[in-house]
Amino acid sequence: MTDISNATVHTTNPREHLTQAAAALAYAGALPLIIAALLVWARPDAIGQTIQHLMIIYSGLLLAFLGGVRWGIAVMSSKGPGFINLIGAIIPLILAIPVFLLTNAALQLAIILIALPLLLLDDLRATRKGSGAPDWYLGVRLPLTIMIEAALLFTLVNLLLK
Amino acid sequence: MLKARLLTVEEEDISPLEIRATILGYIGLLPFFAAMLIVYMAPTVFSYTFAGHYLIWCLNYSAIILSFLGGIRWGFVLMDPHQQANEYINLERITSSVIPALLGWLVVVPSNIVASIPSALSLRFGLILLSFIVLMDTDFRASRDGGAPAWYGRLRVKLTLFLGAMLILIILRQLQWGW
Repeated sequence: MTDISNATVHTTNPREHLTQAAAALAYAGALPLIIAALLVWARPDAIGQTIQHLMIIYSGLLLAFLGGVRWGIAVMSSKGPGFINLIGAIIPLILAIPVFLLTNAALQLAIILIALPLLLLDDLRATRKGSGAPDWYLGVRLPLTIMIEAALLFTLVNLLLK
Repeated sequence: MLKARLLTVEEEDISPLEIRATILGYIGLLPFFAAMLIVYMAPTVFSYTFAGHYLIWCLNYSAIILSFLGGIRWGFVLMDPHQQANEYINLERITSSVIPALLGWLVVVPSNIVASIPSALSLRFGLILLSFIVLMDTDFRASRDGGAPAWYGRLRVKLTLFLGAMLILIILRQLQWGW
């Protein structure tokens, strides 16, 4: 048992280990949204609506989480963050607040749909400038954002067709 | 001589970054402060209905903050310069960084949607309090072990103590009302 775990450790370098774990966790984070989007279409009754609601809460919190990631990266960057970076990382958190205040599901979905790609673009820009996340992280962010966007858009279309 | 030197080091330790982060941190506590005022000024100044609505909003806000704090941990792990040396701690840290977000999600799941989750506000606020305390502990340890800036642990402990005191007062009032 111990032998096996030791063997795996030695074959991959620690950095790669972390990269894989982070990527796996990130995709695992998108999975509930994808499953939920399919369920919303499969169940047009009250259950579908319930799932849609849970989905909105989940993606609102995802937005706040991404803001936190930016904050953590800004603080740990070698140059140290300016006040602008600290405030900038709070914007996703502030965007998440109306998601929870509104009762119109279409509007809630729309806010998240717009915020996520903007956040990705800004993350990409920060990495290019060398003040953002490591490259591999953004390699995960791009497919992840596309998957989440697709799931949310799928749900929004379902909602608008009703 | 040595003592004097230590004192200067400590003074220099408070970087502009720490001050800025501290200010932002306290601003982040304001909605909880407002919640405390509102519940103790209800029903005379504010109605029960208003207090109830605000508390639910505050619950959502707590979930957002928990998510944000989890995200910060994720960012720290990505950027940790010492990470080569302790791979298992990294894995544990990055995995545990998503837990506060999941706890926050659980807290705001509406009771009319998932019947097995009780609607009691005091219980939900209790879960928030517990999440923040656990997070403070892990943040403090990460900071001590070099996984986060030294000031971050200090700041998190300070903010959580304030927040914890406010949450306890809010929960006591809710219990008094049978919420």
